[in-house]
Amino acid sequence: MKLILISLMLCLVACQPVQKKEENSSAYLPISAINIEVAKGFNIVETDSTFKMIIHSLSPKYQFEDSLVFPKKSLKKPFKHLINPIERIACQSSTHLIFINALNNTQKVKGISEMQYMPKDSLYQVLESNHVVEINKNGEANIEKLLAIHPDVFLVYPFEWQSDRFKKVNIKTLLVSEYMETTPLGRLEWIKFFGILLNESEKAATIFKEKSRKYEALVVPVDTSETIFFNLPFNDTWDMPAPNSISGNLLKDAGYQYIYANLGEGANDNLVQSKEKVWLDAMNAKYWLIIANRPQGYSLADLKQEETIYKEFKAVKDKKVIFCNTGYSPYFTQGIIAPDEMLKELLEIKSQGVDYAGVYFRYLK
Amino acid sequence: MKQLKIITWVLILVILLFGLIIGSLFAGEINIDWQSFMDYFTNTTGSNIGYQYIIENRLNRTIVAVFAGAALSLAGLILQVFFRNPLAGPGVLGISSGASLGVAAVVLGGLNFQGFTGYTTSVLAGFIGSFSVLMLLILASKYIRQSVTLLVFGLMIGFFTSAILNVLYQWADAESTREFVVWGLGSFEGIYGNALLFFIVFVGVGIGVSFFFIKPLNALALGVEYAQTIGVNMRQLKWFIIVITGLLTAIVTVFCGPIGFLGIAVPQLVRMLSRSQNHNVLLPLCLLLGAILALLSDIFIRVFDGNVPLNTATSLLGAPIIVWTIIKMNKRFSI
Repeated sequence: MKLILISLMLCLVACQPVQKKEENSSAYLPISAINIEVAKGFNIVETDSTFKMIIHSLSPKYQFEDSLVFPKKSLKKPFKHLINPIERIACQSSTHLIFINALNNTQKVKGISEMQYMPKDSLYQVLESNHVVEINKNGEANIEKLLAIHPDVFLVYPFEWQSDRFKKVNIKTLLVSEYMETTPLGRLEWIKFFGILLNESEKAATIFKEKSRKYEALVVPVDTSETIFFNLPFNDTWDMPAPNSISGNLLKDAGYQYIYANLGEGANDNLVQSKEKVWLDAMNAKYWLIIANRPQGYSLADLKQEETIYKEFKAVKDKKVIFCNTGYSPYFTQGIIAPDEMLKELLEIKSQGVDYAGVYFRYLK
Repeated sequence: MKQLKIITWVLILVILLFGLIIGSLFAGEINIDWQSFMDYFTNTTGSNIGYQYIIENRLNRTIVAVFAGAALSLAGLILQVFFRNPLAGPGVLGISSGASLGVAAVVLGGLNFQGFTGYTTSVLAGFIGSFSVLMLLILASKYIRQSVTLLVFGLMIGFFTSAILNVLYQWADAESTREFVVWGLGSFEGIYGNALLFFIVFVGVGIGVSFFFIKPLNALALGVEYAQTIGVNMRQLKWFIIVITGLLTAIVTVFCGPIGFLGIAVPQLVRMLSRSQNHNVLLPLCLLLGAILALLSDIFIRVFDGNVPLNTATSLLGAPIIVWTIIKMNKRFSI
């Protein structure tokens, strides 16, 4: 009798993991579900027994590569170096946080860099209530703080990358280079990358599909009369995004004719020109798009005070200075996963008067 | 004979300065033709109004470079006499750092008083910063006899203010931090209108007043005891030095950023050229050469389309001169 009971108990114990495995397997996704359509900075390579997610540079000037290897048929057990499921994440950028938040996994973020620069919105309050640790304020990540939160993975930007520093203390890292994409949809597609990490591939694919459909429906051809230029100078130089960059392509999709559409070697090479040159080139542009952090209530009069020549600019005379105050708008946060909404505003604003006020853009008045 | 040599040098420097002023108007990515200059100076609107602004911008930065270079060199000369050390200067003694700290308190720390414009507050804060460091130095000089030790003391003040700056960065927002970092790279550009007038008037007054103190400076160059025996009021002279060097350094630092090397290098070059201890000679030569080197630095950065910071250009010009001074000091340490 005893022998039968022991045998039965052993059977029950032995069955449990099998049940768990079955539960997990129901969440497995076929590789086709995470088909990468637009993003160029990461891809998935399939072999006989595994598939590999490779993150690589899009700039010829700066090379890097990182990867994750998963056993075939499963997106849940990357055996390169990550523990799955990922429950504790540290982010070097608030951009990473936005993707994670879109997948309803904010509670997994335990540490983030430079929280002080984040807009003090509802997401910030969530981070505060979750007691998220600021892993650095300026400069390098604080190793002790990272060790204290012991993240399953530390998501990092590739620039100034010091993998040895973290490897020594057994902090697992993964490069994220979504900012190197050339199109707004390319960057949005990195949500699939986060979906894979967080076992939310289906949700990520749905978000991408829905938003990219909306975005593509809004795209209009370039109108050569709708000339535009970007931003403000610093001392002698005037930096503008490359035409084949996320911002450049967003304007293009909204039908604007970027005055430097034919310049720039690569998507990530900012156009750095002398202020004098831009003065001459941009004076007759119809629109001026300024994406900058300025005090609330920053006005056209304030802009004119920065340089006397601005009052001669056509865009200033016609009150067509489109302004995105990054200190008060979610441009660098929610905007990353809402390119469709930004595109919509950039289209709407053209036909609107100076009182137009979108979530991201408004006219300076 | 020596007088002839000095007059020759003055003439050469005046011609050189004049040539550089003309060159400065033409230096930049955009080529401006003579007609546009004629249009600007005759107040005629030419075919492209953008050219008028470019000329005005170049003219303004040329004026700022001339005044800033002259002011820093003069401040360096006076400090070198006072501290009896050829390596003294607004940058080395921490006076520029003091001014920077004042500006940082306004830009990064949000210390902006209601009713004051940004410039006024920054200049005031910069002046308080540089003035405080000078006071500290003068206080320290009572107890520290060796000039090299005093220099080290000045350097420590510089490090200390840098440390406070780093603390201020922790609380500053991204835009203020970027603004302060860009300001720290130095530039003669972007000052116009009332700000330019303010700059010219204050620097001009500082330079003008200095000419009244040539005699006491000559006496001081021969030693404090000698100066006192011929009736120099040391207390008055000390205050003059604090106010003038503090004011000149603060104004230039606030408007153009902390510009290194000019304050030390130019007085050295002037002494080498003139081989004189007479401030009747040294002071005008210093003003001329300071203006020339500052203008040269500004033209240099425009050759690179503004991609080289001003501080880099002044370092390239000034650092070799300072190295030369140190080598020379090893052989013969005296002013």
